[in-house]
Amino acid sequence: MLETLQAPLAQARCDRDGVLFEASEPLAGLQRRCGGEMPGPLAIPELLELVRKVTRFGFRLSRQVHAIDGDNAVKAWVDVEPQFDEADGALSHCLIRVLSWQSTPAPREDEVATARKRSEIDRLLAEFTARLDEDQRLLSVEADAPDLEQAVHEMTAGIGLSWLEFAEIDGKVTGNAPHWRLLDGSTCRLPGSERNWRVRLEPLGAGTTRPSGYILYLSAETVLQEAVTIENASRANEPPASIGRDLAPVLRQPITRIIANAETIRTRLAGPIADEYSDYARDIASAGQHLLALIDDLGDLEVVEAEDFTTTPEAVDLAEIARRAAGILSVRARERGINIVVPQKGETEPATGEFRRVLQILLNLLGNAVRYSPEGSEVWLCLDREEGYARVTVADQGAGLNDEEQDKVFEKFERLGRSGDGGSGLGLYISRKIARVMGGDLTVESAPGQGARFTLSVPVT
Amino acid sequence: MAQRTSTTEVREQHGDLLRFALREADAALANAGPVLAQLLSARDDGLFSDEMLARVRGLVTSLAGSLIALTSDTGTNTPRRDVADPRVLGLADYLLQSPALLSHCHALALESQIAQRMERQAALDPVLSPFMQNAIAGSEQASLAMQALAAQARFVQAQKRMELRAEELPGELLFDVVRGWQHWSAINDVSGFAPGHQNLRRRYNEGQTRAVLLSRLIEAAGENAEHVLTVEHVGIALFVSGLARYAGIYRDLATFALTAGQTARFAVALCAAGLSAETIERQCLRLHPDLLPPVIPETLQPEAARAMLQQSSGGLS
Repeated sequence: MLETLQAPLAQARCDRDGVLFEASEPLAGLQRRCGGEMPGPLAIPELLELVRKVTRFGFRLSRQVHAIDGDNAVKAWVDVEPQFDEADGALSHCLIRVLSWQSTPAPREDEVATARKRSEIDRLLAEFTARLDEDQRLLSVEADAPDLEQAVHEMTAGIGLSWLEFAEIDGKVTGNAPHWRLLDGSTCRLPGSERNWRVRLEPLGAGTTRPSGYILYLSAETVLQEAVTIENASRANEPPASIGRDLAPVLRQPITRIIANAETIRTRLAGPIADEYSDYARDIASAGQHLLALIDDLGDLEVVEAEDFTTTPEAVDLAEIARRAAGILSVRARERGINIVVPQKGETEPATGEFRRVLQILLNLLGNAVRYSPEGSEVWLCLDREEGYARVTVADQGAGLNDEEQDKVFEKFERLGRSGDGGSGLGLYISRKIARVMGGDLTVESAPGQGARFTLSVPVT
Repeated sequence: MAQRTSTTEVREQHGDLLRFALREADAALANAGPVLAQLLSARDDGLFSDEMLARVRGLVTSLAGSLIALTSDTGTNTPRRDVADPRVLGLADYLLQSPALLSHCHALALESQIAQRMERQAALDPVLSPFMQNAIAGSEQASLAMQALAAQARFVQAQKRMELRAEELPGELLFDVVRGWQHWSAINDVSGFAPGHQNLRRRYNEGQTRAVLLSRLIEAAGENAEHVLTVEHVGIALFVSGLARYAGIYRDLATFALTAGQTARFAVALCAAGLSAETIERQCLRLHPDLLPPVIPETLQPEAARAMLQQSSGGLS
């Protein structure tokens, strides 16, 4: 058979485990620039693949090999011949011959693809995630970095306010709610954290000029070093594991990512897909939301059932909290065509309780009303006062509850026969517990077909 | 008592065997209709003509003969279709069960059929195309071009005789065939595999196969898809290799794209290679003067065409 007529440009030898022990230029240089040593494991991926194939097949192969050499793309035609031991016939090493070598400047990476990759990286590395409404107001906050505790605490208390009230954006950004494109990619600083945070805003809702909401990702420019040591040091004398303190933070992050990615698929951000797949993604996202809510509820349950559970009484305004709760749930209500009638601006109802807890109860009550009322109906938030108690009532036009159901509705895990709608059966139980710890109560009045009226009463002084 | 039980068991076993055999027979009958219909309806398209079936069988039998020949002491690999040697037919029957091998042989037979047709229709030399002449005359790649020319000439001769030697197979497929050969030798207690395998390993050099030499010639021509993808300039063999190279598909699939029923794949592959709609249409007409070329939208970008191709593997992988 005709042998290759030209002399090879370069020769190399490599053992059966892929260790290159002899090579001439330009192969030797490429091996070094790919991060390899001499002698050392073959560092040129496609060539290693070829050598492995030859080792496995026992045949002499001849293929084109591609590699990146700094700023250049290398294409080489390589012939790899297995060499067998004379004595026992086993493969001893491979003889590599480079037949052609072509080095050209590597093509620049596509800008769109690069941008997509970068946002993908930001999302995966984000230590802070928040869901924002259409006006960039906070709906939920998520973080797992120790230096963000303060920021998360402040933001959680300020749900319903613009996230910009808590973050200090570097550089010039004007207006109360700047366009998201101006903020996307900027850096900011957060209370309690010394690190710089890069902002990534991901608009939600496909094909519309105005996004229906955003996911805010903040990723730090530096890694927090102390975090590990602090955690390890405190591990020694800690109390037994609990859902709220130990499990929830661990579960939250992956679930939040599942939801965020499912939302990306659902909204077709990464490209067109069939409607069915978009629907599946919506199912994944809503199942994730449910799981997240369940974790929150279980964590809350643990807290409110603890013997030392207390609230911090402060002067609050029930009217203000009611308006804020309605604001937070307005998007969901609008989706179902439900009109929430809130206390007029200027109306106040002073009381004593913990702001965060009262908001939590109202969100629970209002959320139930929005979820279980017929589409196109109304939900009222009414205020009144009686015998030292300020009261806020959530009234809906839903199916109502009979006496037996009214007795059971505040029980743990009670779903009144409902399933598959995202409820955990813990919300009302937790709400009543909190209301009672605050010195108030949560009660229901209803009749079948007449809607339900849930009333939260909180002491005035 | 015990004996009666065992008789019953034996009867039941026979019953099971019969039931199994009947199920197999059912499957064979169920497939007979569609297969026959396909073969009968394939009168014109060439993909499954009687000639094609005969050629594929011929190539596989020849391959089996070349493997068996390697087992003899002389180690010659003159392809023989020694029907008198039951080993050749036995191994051929075994190898015929490999879809990858069948597909490859099918592609080879189709390629030579298309090349013959183009020789008649457009006086296109299956061995010495204008491109090949230039390459041989040029100083840089002359020796590579000479090797490719020799390999192509051998291929044309071998196809006329329905011959296929193991040394001509691509590495992966050869590995597959060798494993089949080993397995067949083991279950039929046929000796000679080990020395045969040894012989084959010594002889095989993928760098000397026609497919690799053609690919190297195309690489040496530089990044110029349009230059390489002009069938009247390069000839069928280089055209198929070029199409595989620039559209990013397997060579066998590129061959199938040249048949009459696959003009859509052909056009999309050319688009993926970066050719303009006008050039694509010209190449379609050159290959199939009697067929209406598929319409390629001006807006179809090579990347989109590539994605389209990748989703449609043609049953090959």
